[in-house]
Amino acid sequence: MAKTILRKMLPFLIFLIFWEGLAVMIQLRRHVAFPTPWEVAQTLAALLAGAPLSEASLIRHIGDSLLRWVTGFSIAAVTGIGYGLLSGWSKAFRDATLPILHVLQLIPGLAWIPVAILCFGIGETATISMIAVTAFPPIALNVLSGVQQLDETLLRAARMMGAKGQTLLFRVLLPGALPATISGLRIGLGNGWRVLVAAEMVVGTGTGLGYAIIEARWTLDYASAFSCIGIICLIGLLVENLLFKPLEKRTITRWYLTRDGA
Amino acid sequence: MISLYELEKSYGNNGTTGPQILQNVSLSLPRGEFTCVLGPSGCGKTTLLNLIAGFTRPTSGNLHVDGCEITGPGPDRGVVFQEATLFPWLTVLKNVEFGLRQQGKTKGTCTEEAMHCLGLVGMADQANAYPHTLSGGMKQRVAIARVLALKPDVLLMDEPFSALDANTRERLQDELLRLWEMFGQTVFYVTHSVEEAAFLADRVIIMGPSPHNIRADIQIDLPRPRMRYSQEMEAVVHNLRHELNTLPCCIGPSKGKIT
Repeated sequence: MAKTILRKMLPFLIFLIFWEGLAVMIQLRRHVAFPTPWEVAQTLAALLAGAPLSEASLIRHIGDSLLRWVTGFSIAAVTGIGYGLLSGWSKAFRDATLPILHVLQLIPGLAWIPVAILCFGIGETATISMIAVTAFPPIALNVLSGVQQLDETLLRAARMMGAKGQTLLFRVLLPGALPATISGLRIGLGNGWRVLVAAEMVVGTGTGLGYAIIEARWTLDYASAFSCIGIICLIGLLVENLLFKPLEKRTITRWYLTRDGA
Repeated sequence: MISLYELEKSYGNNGTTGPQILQNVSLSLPRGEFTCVLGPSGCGKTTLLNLIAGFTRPTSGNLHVDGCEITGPGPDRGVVFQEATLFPWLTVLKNVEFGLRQQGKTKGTCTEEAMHCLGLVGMADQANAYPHTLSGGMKQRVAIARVLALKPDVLLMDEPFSALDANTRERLQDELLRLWEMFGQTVFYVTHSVEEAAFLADRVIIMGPSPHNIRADIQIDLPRPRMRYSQEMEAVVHNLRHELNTLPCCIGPSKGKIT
């Protein structure tokens, strides 16, 4: 038991040692206050206890970032799954739109800043639209490939049993494409999260983890900036372990045992 | 009664003519008859089955079931595929309920009828299992239960037991015959096994490559229940094999050039 915990903690320990070493080295050579893990931990504790950061509490920054993220991602998830199913269903629609999607996928999230500002002005909507537009292509493309890879005879079997239209779409295509959908959502969520933090740095939203990181720079409060980065990582890990892993366990593992067992 | 009249089927789209798989196929399958279709690979057995199932449309010709033209798949013609093609995301019970739900039956009725059908194939114990936990033979039993639940007049079976081991295959053949005797469906059974055709069928249709797809139409008059190994059976098998041996092998590069 203790051994497995140690094994799981090992990457984290290696990372901490590396960080400590880097901090000490940079402090010695460049004479700047590179925060050590211990300092960041102390700052993080103070911030979590309610110390203000860029005129707001850390909780407020986290909350605002999460809200933007969830909103933008939800838009992308609904439209992306819808697009994937529709284009898997209709070849005409797919032929007419798929190249656009491939191009969209190539555009880095931050390149949308001018477009977003032109469309929505500086503010929440601009940030959310950037998250949605960067999370959309991977979700849409993955759902589509999931639908396309679905065994044709499953669809035939469903039609033989009298399934039509909506039933085929939601009871056969959607669950059949679920493994691919989950990986699409995972990529989309990651893309969205990264562009959110970056967008908050550029589009001055006034709150949010990205905003807090970039603002901490002006006050040379690097420990706070590092704390925010830590929080960002933590949120990513939580989403993976509390959302995607259980979701996969409930679906893919239960249905297929292993992927190649399908 | 299924009637096929001057069916033609060639693959290819947008005006280009692909290889012609079926040409001038006319057949009628009387109600309640067990027909096996025998022939080498690539001569259009499955194509014919897919046409009757309504999965594909003929290039020309007519298909009717009890006087109604076939325009698409439907629960009146249950299909058992070579692979069980159960939905992996549904339990065995939910798989069987799927077709019943499409008929707008209540949840309770669906469960009751599905359990009854699972009982018929001896799979009631596994109702809550997911398909991937079952063996090939068990999956195929569920696939049969799923089709029985639709109460189809016609059973279309595309080499349903060919992927199973010999013992399981024979057990399932016995069960299929038992169910057929119970419900009296019209069965259209594609196989490449001479022994299977001789054991199961009232009538064996031997198919060869186009342009003459239907090479022989043989009645099997052996009384039922049949023995797998008897002199009469040997004679039938010998006769079928003799017919089959006159056929060329279907898969050849010249196939596309026939037209």
